[in-house]
Formats: sequence, C-alpha cells, structure tokens
Amino acid sequence: MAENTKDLTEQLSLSEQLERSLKKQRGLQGQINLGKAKQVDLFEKQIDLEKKFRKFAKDNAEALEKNLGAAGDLGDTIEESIAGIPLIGGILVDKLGLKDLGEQFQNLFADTLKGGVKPIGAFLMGPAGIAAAFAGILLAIRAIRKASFDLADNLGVSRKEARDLLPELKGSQMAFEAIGMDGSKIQSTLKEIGSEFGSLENMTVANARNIEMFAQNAGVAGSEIVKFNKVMMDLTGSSFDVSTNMAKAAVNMAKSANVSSAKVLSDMASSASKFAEFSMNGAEGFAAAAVEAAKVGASVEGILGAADKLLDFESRGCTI
Amino acid sequence: MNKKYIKENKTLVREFLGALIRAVAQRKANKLVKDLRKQSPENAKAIDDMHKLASDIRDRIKQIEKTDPAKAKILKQKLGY
Repeated sequence: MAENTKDLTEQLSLSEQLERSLKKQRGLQGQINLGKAKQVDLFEKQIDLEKKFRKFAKDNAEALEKNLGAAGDLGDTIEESIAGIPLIGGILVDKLGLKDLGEQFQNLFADTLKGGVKPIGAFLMGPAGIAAAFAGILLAIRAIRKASFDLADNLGVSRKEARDLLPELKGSQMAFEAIGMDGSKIQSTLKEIGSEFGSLENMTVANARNIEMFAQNAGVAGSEIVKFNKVMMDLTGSSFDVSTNMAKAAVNMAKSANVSSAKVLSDMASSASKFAEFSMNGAEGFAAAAVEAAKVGASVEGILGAADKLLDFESRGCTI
Repeated sequence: MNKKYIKENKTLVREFLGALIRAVAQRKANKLVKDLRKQSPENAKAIDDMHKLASDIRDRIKQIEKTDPAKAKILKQKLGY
C-alpha cells in the first residue's frame, strides 16, 4: 500500500514536470503568436528544447520518476529537519529560501537535464569557492564573537555569560519578529532584570521572553513588570514565575475594570510597604485595591494617606 | 564594528548556507543526469541536443546583454535562464 502511494507520488512528480514544460511552451508560443516576441528564434529554440525534454521524459519515464521522487524526498527531508529546529526553524526556512524545497529540487533536476541551469555547485568546487566558503565561516565566527562582546557590554555581564545567553536570545528575538512583536525589547528586559535583581539567577532569556510576551500583549512596559516582580518576590518570597503570574492577574483585573494596567502595576510596585494591609487576600487583594484606586484616579498610597489623615483628624478632635 | 557590519555578515552567512544546500542538490542532479547519459547512446544524444540548444540560447542572451541589458534581463525571465 505504502509502495503504491510512493509510486503514485513519483508519477505525480513527473506529471508536474511535464505540465510545467508544456505550460512554458504554451506561454512562449503565445508570445510569438501575439507578435510580442522580437527574438522569435530564441523562443523557438526554447520551445524545441521543451519538446525534446518531454520526449526524453516519456522514453525514460521510469528512471525519471525514480530520480524526481528521490530529489523531492531529499528536499523535503532537509526542509523538515531545518523547520524542526525549535523557535527559529520556520524563520530559517524562509530566510534561506527553502520553502517547498522538495519541489525546488525536482525543478532543479529537470532544469539540469535540460541544460538550462548554471551549475551552483561550481561555486563551492573551485579554489576560489573554497576560499570564499572559509572566508564566510571566519566572518560568521567574527560576527558571533562581536555580537557576544556587544551583548556583554550592554548587559553588564562577562563575555562567557553573554556567549551562553546569545543563541537563545537571538532565537527568541527572531521568533518574536516572525509573529510581528518587537524582539529587541527582550534584550532591554533582560538588562532590566539584571539591574533590578543584581544577581544573575533570574537573568534568563526565558524569564525575559515570558515578561516581554505578556508585556507586549497587555500593552505595558516590560520594565514595569520586572519592578513589580522584584517587589513581590521580596515581599512574599514567591518565585519569579509566580510573581509574573501575579502581574498577569493584576493586569487582567485592571482590564476588566477598564483602568490603565500600567498604572495599576506601577502603583502596586511603588506602594509595596502597604502590601501587609491587604495581606488578608494576598496579592489579589492588593491588586483589587490598586484597581479601585485607579478607578478614581488615585493611588493606593494616596488613598491610605488620606485615610490616615482622616484618622489623625478624628483623634485630634477627640483630644480637643 | 557596528550593527551594519553584523547585518552584512548575517546576509553573507544566509546566502552561503542557502547556496550550500542548493549546491548539494545540484551535485546530485549532475550525477543523475550523468547516469542517465550512460544508460544508452540515444539518451546521451538527446541530452547533448538539449544542452546544445540551452547553450545556444545562453550565448545569444549574452550577446544581447552587451548591447541591451534590459532586453536581456526580460529574455532571461521569459525563457527561464
């Protein structure tokens, strides 16, 4: 059954090539008929070539089907292997021009048979090609070294640490760009985590990526969430992820109440000392207070300050 | 040593990798055509005829390119070279 399916696919490959050749011939003949082709002799030669190719294909159908099938399989395997690279696979396939590689290889095979392709392999076979390949590799190594120096300088970490962060960072940035998000902000958030926390424990690309993904979707600055996380981790002893989830909950509450999520987050971060007063309901209670404060254009600190003053006024009243 | 430098290298690496993958396929295709040629004298003649036609077309386009590069470009596109 599987063998039959494979045979059918191979026959389809040959049919596609024959159809491609016929279509090209029709197009060229149409140009001649409409009087659009000035170099008629060239067009006629190409038509003759397409006819010879189709005759050759019919005489050698079995061998051609097998070879076209093999070329298609090779292309599909390469494309699938590259597409399977986590995060950046899809982008690499696009950037390297490897989409539908199986079909591209089949066309390449047919065009090589027709003699219509300038051999690409020649680029890598001669001494100049080998030198160019080495130069390309050396330049790539230099570019990677330079990028790790720049990253170390920007993040304030050692070059070794920057080198470890670089591949995941670049991969995440490319993945962000691919879905229309701003990948460059992952690096700035990573830097913000480093400067806010001091230690490198939480300064991971995964943390920066999670924050930026959420920040850009929610329309808040990544730095606000980093500051919020630092305060929440210090106050509650929670992990980085748990603090990020608290931020998400606060943003969702702010959105439901139709108030600015950035204002709620910054309010919570700056009124950290008041957290204990809402500890009955944990971070959620604190977020609810910040949301209520934002609704009236005030802050948690402002409202508590006003309440304190009111109490102070009452106590003064009692003493008079 | 600026961003432009890194960007230029990125393009170079990209082109190199793309060309490398195609070069692998091209070598395979060349070998397959060579094998088909060996199968029979008729095959060899048919392949030679096709290559002769392709070579004539390429030479003509090259000639045109010297006097009218724009027309040569259009011809390359239309004829698939």
